[in-house]
Amino acid sequence: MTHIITQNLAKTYLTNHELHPILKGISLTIAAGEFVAITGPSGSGKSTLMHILGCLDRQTSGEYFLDGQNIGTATNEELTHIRNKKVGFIFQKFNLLTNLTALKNTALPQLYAGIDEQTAEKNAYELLSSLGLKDRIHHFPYQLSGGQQQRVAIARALINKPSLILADEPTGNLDSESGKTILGLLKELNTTYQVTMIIVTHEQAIANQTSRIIQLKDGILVH
Amino acid sequence: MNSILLIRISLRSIAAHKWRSILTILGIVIGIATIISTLAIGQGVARKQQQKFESMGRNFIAIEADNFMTQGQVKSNQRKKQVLFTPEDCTYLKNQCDKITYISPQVNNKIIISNKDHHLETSVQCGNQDLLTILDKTIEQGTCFSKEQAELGELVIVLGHKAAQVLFPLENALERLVTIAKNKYRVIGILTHQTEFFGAANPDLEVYIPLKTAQRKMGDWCSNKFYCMALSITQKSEMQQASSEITALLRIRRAIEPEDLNNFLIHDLEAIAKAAAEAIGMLNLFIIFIASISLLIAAVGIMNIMLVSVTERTREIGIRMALGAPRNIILRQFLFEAITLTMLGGIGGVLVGIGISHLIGYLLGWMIIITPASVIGAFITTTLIGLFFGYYPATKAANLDPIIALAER
Repeated sequence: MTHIITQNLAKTYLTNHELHPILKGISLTIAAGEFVAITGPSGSGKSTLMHILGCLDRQTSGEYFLDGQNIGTATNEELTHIRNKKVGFIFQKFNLLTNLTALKNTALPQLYAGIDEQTAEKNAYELLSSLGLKDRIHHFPYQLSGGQQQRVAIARALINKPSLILADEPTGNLDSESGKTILGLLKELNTTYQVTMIIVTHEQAIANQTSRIIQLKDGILVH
Repeated sequence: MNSILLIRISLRSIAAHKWRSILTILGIVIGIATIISTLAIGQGVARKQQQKFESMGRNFIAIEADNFMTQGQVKSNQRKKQVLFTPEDCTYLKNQCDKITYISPQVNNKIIISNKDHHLETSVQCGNQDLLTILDKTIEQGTCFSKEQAELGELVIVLGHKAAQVLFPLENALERLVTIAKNKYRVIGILTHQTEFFGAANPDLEVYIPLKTAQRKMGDWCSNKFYCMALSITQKSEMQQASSEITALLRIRRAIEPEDLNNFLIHDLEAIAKAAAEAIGMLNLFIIFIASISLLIAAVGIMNIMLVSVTERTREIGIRMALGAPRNIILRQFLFEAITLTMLGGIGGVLVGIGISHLIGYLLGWMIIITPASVIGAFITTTLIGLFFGYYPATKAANLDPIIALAER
């Protein structure tokens, strides 16, 4: 079953009255449950592609279908809803809210989904426990190691049971040992939850562990 | 995400910036406290005034034999000479106007009154036997002077409560003799204690003698003619009507041409009370206006700090949006934060205001009235300030582009 289809996806930014094409016609298909790496040198447009696939940004032209829904014609409210329900983001710098505990960070997407706080925190507790953070739930991000923070971020990305997880350099801020653990965890989640996993990375070693590599250069697909 | 959760998030965020928040709401606290205490004191003073006027009997009218209000407005080319009242004027009005219960001349002057080594410089009020009744004075001991004593001009005197104490600190003043200008007067009555009138002389120090007596013994300042009459009206409800009847009668008696203005002036107590209340009201309004300016400045401060907060937390907003926070929740989060700030200022302002009012009331012995309306008004005002001045920063937050917000460091 196909999960993602893009056709001639292009993105152009306007800065100082000058057009900067970042993506120049990307056509790709990703099946549900696939584990894909998007690689390419910096400035190749991989982050922009990830933002569009994650419904954070919109393409300038071309088509993008997620689960058969035409994202190009969706309203901002619909995009917000899709981000909340269908997509989970994992960032290089974890992007946890600094003034919230691990538990509250994890529960946040459920609150935005309209679930009551008690239920949301119960779900967050179960998820964090399964990720080995049972005794860290009341810690604030600055009290956690990088690997632990990224695991909280993964829990947050998973809490609303999304069908798509987008990870932007998930191991970029971690030492190699923690990086390995996190990557192993993502692999495991991909198989156990059958969630489509897209990792954006410039490290060939990480890309090699996925089932497919999509290579970008100057806004076009190389491979 | 419900409102209670949003309020808790707001409080948490405010607690995270404790000092900044306290300094920000300080302006609101000062503004609200000023308004609350101004209203409390103003209403206390107004109530006290009102009670005083009510205790004086509202059916009291004073008439002056000249009209300072017509100065510079006379129609004829000649300044009319001041025409003083005579006892016949009193009789005339009493006979012609059935709404008048009592009428008396009213003359006062500064005198020195003595009992051996005790001296008192005070105001003496001279009139007929009805003057004390008209002025609503009550006798504690003894009596007022009788009609006969008034008409004969006997050497009798009624002392105010405090005047009696000053002249006779150790003994009862009743039936004792006091000296005014070498003449001995017999004390026939002592008045009950009266509350002080805001901004006026202590009424407890005044003394009363018959007008005839003053004419006989103090002819240098007291003659058969007088400047002021005091009278009381049967029904309070007839004050207005009585005023106009008396005006008409006096215009006829004083032969005033239709085109000329009154050469006398009628004061009814209700009008005086109203004027005094208006003056206090204006003063209150002015102070509230000044306090509102401080409130406005504080409100701009709130807006400023909220804008700073939005800028500081751009990345946080970006993360929240990536997690699927709807724009209206981002908007409400920041709006609630602004309203929570201003409402905390409102609560602080009300508490400080109540404290200041009671402190002033205690130190100066003034009456303090804190009405629920002023407290509720303070909360409504601060909520509206938060809503109004928090709205722009909140929209700014809600309209951020998630990509740009996430790229923020």
